[in-house]
Amino acid sequence: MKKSTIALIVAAIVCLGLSVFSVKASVTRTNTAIENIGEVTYTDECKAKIDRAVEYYNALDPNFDLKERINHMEDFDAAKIEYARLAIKAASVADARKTVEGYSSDDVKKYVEEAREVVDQYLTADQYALVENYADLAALENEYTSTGGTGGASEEVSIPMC
Amino acid sequence: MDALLSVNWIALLVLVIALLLFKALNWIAYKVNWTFVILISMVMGAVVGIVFASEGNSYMTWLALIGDVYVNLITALVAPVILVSVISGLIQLNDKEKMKRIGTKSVFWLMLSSAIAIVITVIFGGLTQIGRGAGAVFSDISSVAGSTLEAYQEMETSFDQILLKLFPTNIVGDLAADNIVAIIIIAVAVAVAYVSVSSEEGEDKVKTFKDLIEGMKKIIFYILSYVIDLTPYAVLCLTAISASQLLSDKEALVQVILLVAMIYVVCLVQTYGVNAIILKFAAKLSPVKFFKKTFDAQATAFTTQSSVGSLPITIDRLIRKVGVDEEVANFTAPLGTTIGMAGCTCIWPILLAMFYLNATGQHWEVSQYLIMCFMCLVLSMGSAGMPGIGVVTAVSLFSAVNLPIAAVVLLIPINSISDMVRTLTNVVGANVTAAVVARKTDLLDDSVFNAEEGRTNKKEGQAS
Repeated sequence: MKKSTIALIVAAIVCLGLSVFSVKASVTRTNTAIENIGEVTYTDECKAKIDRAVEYYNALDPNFDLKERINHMEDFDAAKIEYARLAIKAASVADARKTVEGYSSDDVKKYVEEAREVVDQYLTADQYALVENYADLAALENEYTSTGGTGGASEEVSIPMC
Repeated sequence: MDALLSVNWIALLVLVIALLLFKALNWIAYKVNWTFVILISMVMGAVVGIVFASEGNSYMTWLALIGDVYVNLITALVAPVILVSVISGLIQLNDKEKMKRIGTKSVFWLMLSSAIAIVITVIFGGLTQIGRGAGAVFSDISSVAGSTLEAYQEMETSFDQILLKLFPTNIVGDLAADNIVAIIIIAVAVAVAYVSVSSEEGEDKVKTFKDLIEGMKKIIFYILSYVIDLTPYAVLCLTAISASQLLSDKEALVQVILLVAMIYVVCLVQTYGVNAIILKFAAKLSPVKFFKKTFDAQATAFTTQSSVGSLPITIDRLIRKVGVDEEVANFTAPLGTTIGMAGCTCIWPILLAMFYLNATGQHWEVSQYLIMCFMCLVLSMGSAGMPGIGVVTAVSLFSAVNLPIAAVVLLIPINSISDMVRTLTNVVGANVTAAVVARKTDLLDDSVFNAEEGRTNKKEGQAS
């Protein structure tokens, strides 16, 4: 047998081994990332942990039904919903501060956009209803990000998914 | 760790397996007939595609790259091959009357082939009542977004546009855009001018031009031989991708599986039934032998889904294995990628329209069917032989006969899988027409056609 053929067979075996390893490891790292989320707070550190778990979860190979092998899926969903709730609440607080403490529209808009990003990135359309203050986000978007609203100068149109 | 997991190891595994299979094909290529090599590569590709079927073809990334490289390479050769070979062939013919006969006979037989395809399709569609009971397929027709519809409406082509596009506007632009009829018109104009100058002022005045064209032809066909050698490897990759795609799309296909089956049946009847009769009675050739000798051109068409992309191999096989004279092969086969194209411009849009009519319980008068058939014949006069042209023809036909374009949008999932057999029909139709025209103009070498194919020395795959 030629050396190049032997090299290809060895490469195939290595790839096969790494495929099996990466499939198992991708499940393990997702489980670990979910466990590491811990208590949900509206902080950059907590967001980074959820982001990582979401990234790993989305990267799971859809051809092996790996998502069914994720432990604590309920905790993971709850953490995402809770963070989305906190992000919307932060936007509502910023809106309230605008009236009381003179926040600019652009400041509030930043929070509203961040909340929308979190909602779209973390949740599926049928999970929106599970965020108790989701209606607040829709109302804030109507005020700050829709055309004709009282938002900032850029007037980006945000299309709610619901 | 993250870096290790970010690599798609299964896609790499598929690549390595494909490379091993390439080595096996390379070994086989010296042992058996070239046609058999192509057949083996298709089987190997289908097995790889079935074993590694994946959502979104995620395991086929590297094979798709190899397939795309091959399609790009062969498409890059289309314009120079046609330009140089048509000029060369017609210059050697040196007979304006014969040029005219080849041209008119080619158009006649291509259009006749389209007309037969239209009749067969309407008969099959009518007899089977294709689409009856499949109303659910179109239940979401109103939900097709307006922006999507607008995008599809832009594809629509009218009769005047079809005619206009046939003629050259910019020599360099038409060559770059692979506008086949325009390239042929340019080449014919050059050849006619050459023959005129040669006969009026003597051949010495233009001999340099003839030598230049002959030299260029030799070089281009030599390059082509390198690309043709890659065909089995590309066929393996492209078949694997199609098989994987088919399995991952199976849910979308289930609802319209009968339509897909009908498209395959009608296309295969046209390809191997109607064309066999034409070959037997008009070209006086053995159909089985003809299909065997042009098998690799058929395999390339089936897997690349590009009539134009298959041209270099088609022309080569017509000349070297069927015995069609160069001037006919170089003229008629390229013409068949624009005029005719029975699979994409006749069978596909008519079956879609009949499927929609039966599914929604509409009844058409005979006159409406006749208008639809006439529109298909018009469409078959000028469509580009590129992957995806079937969508354009379907949109154009639906628009012309006042059927909703949204129905075409809902049937798009089956476009790719049916494009394979449609392209096969187009290419075989063009090949058969070339053989018929060669026979009718006494430019068919029976000794080449009757020569038995032996074992390859691998170089059998090469263009001459």
